Amino acid sequence: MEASVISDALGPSFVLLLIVGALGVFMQRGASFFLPRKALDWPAMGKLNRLLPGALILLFFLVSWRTSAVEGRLEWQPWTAELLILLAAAALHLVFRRVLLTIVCAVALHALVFAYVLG
Amino acid sequence: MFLTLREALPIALPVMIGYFTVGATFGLTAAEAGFGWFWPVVISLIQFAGAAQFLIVAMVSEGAGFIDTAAVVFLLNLRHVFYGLPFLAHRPENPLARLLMIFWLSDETYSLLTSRKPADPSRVQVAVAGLNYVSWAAGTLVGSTVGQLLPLSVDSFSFALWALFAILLTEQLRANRSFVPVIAGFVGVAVLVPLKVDFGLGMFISGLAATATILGWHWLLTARQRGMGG
Repeated sequence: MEASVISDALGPSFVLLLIVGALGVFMQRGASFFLPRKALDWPAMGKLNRLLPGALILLFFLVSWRTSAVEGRLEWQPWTAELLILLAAAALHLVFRRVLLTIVCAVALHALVFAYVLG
Repeated sequence: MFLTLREALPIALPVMIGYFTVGATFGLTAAEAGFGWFWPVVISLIQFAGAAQFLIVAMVSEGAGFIDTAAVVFLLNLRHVFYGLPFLAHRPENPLARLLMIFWLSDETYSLLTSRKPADPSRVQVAVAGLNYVSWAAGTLVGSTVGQLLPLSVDSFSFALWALFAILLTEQLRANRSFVPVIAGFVGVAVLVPLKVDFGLGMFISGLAATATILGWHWLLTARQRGMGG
């Protein structure tokens, strides 16, 4: 999405989204104060708590790629390059475990690849 | 109050440093994605929800609707349901302090406070959580301001968001040592194959499918254990 379109999306309705989202998070964080203990002790909640965030993050990649492909916006060469850089970033993170270092390296590599290899 | 903050500062400092850095990263990426310097700070102050904030920026940048975004953020934060439990015995008596403690209870604050033995008094716990919140918001302000000033390629800089998601996914898989999230992710996106939906609705539908997959796997495992037990 173009930056100007993003700025159009930002306004009172966006603040409302943030407040609704914050209320949701507040209810979730305060669930032990509001929900019956029985609901919290439901064993499946433990599994969802552990496994759902990873699935949702992966979905972010998959759904974004799938939507771009359906809309004809996915170009294979840049997509492959970005996928390889992401895999390299994941490997770098596993070795050094420094979030900022990994992000800076990924951004620098992306800039280099897109300026000098694919540019 | 000053004494409480002085007591809380050394406890909070490691998380504060991390929060400032990641908050700055959030500010930087959001500013570069077109959110300016002001909106990232507003998001941090109102939402204060780590990965969910990056998801909001990414979904709005992809053109997702607000209802879809709110629904996905709700699913992502489901884990917070458990965070209040260890604090039931130490929850502040003051209603305002109790509300603030709930609002400020993040993954790292939860990990930090629950690892302290014996547990700190509730006034110190609230102060630790508050200091972490302030450092996150301050980091966002610095990051978003720098993001406005740096003459860098927007494309490459907004790639930072993807890199962060790659890191978060790596951490999730490493911590849980399970491929169920990967299977659930692929089941989720497979559900979309016959549908022509936009990104936001796609995330919502596939999120529900992933949730159902994890629940199905849980019930299958439970049934098998019961079968073996009896």
